[in-house]
Amino acid sequence: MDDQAAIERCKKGQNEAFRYIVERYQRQAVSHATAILGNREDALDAAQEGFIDAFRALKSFDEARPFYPWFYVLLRNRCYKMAARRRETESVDETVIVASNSAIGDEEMLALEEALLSLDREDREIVTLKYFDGLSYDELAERLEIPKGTVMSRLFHARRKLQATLER
Amino acid sequence: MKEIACEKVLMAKMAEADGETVELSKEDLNLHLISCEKCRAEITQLHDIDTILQRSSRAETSVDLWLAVSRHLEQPVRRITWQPFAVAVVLLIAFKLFEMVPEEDPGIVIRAAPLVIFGALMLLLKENPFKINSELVLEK
Repeated sequence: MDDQAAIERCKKGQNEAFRYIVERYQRQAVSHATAILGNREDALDAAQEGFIDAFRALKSFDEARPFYPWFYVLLRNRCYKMAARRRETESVDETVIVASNSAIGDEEMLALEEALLSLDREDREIVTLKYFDGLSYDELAERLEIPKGTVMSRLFHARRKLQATLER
Repeated sequence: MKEIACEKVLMAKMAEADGETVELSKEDLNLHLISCEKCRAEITQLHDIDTILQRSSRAETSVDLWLAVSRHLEQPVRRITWQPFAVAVVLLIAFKLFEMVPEEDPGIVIRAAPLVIFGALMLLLKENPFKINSELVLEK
């Protein structure tokens, strides 16, 4: 089964087909939500609600387009709604945004995580989409529904803030 | 004035490093950097951040959301239709017309009709008119 087939089946009332979509994208969704919200518990709730929103809005989804960028808009709406009600994680003892890997030491990883958490949600979102997902400026503009010039300036200011935080 | 120019140059240099095309020419950018020590220092620091971020990756852990999501898929979505509002409007208009008849004294029960209509509408819609919406936030 692929996305298109699963969505077609969902539209015909076969709810079970949505399982394929959830299982395919849940890890990605939770990590994107974590990058926006700054904590995993809220991210799990946001991702869950995002999938429910997506299921209910499937009728308006154009199957010729890829699923995830469409879903991402719903997911980030959920995240920002949730963010207005909840507070961010204040201390960092384990990383939820940055993965441990051989190219980056533990200390550097924790410092980067803390610096990322000190950014505004929007800045953190754009930085992680740029570096962790490798999106181009055009893709970022489309995904975040902002002009390309705003992408350039938001990324620049976010990197400046990161640099200032890491320097401290 | 110089500060604005510096920011534009730095922004363009970073975009260039990201593989994007920028409006300012390479020559203009380099000329500025040669003459501006502050920008040279900042661009080095920004490249350092760029390097750290490029070496990093997104944390992903295994999750299973299907069970929680599937429970909600069966539940019908409550949709607010226009009919209750139409009925309320008709009743309120009828009340206003009745109120305009000069010789009639409607009495306390009839006078309370708009409140009753409003209350019935809220009850029907299962909405609490006194609930504070915590999702409302001030624009930045």
